[in-house]
Amino acid sequence: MTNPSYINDKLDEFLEKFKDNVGEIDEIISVAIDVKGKVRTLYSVKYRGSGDILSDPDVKKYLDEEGYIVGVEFIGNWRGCKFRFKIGYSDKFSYMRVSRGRNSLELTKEALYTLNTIYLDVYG
Amino acid sequence: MINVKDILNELSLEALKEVSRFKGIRIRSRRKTDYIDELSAHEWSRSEISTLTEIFKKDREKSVRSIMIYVFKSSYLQNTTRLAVKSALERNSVDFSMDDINGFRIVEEENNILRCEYWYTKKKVIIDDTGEIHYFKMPSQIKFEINFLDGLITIYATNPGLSLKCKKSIEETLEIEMRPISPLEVD
Repeated sequence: MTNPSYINDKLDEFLEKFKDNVGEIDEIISVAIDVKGKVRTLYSVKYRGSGDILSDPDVKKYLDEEGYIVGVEFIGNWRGCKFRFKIGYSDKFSYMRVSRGRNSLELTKEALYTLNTIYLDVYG
Repeated sequence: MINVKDILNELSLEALKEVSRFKGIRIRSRRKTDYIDELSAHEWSRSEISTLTEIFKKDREKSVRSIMIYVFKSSYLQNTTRLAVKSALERNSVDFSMDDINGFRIVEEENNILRCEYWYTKKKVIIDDTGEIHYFKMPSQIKFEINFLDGLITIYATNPGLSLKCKKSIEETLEIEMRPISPLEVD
């Protein structure tokens, strides 16, 4: 099993790179934590905060049990618009998703390619 | 006759959870197939089917609001020729004259990137404004790109199931193993 702290360091790196290269992150709205093969969602770990998920006491509790973050969803700013970004991975697949809201499909595609570039930069 | 399982097959996991709540059936699983098998085994009244179609319509509206990319890597791509990959895809190229299609189409080649489509037959359920359900069997495609320089395979699919369907077909055709790009170690 991969060291959970390595996975969380990578997530930190990803989020920092997003802030540096894309824009501010307004809110982190969900996270999935795998604890010994069982994926728990934000709701099941009773996470209520926003921002620094890795230092949240409820999330930390699961990470201390050798859990690791397998996905994160956040509201990010891109070209003056707000998008809902999501990255996630498991032993079967890894993916990125961008929700459009009221934004154009073209701009959303561009945001997705940017997300993909950062993802590959960190995880590739 | 309305086949509830066909409609359930089209729903996202979130929508299936909503369906299980309104049916009052507790399902402890994260797998879509478990929800579909369990929910389709029950009796469905006309009013319940009507609620199901409403959930289907809302779910469909939500799903078109997001776009997704799945990324995989294969070391084989860096150790083979582009010609070998193209030949394998062309040997399994899509035949649109068939009833059930399953194959590839090479769309474009640019520098180190090969842009392709994987075609398959999809049984589609359409619910019109009056709530009437129609079934169509139609060709559908999943776009993907092969980057020979990095050994990357990028799949543009709307859900994990479709991405895995496309991945499996590429793996079988090229006789390769594709691994997800993630910080997890895969045995």
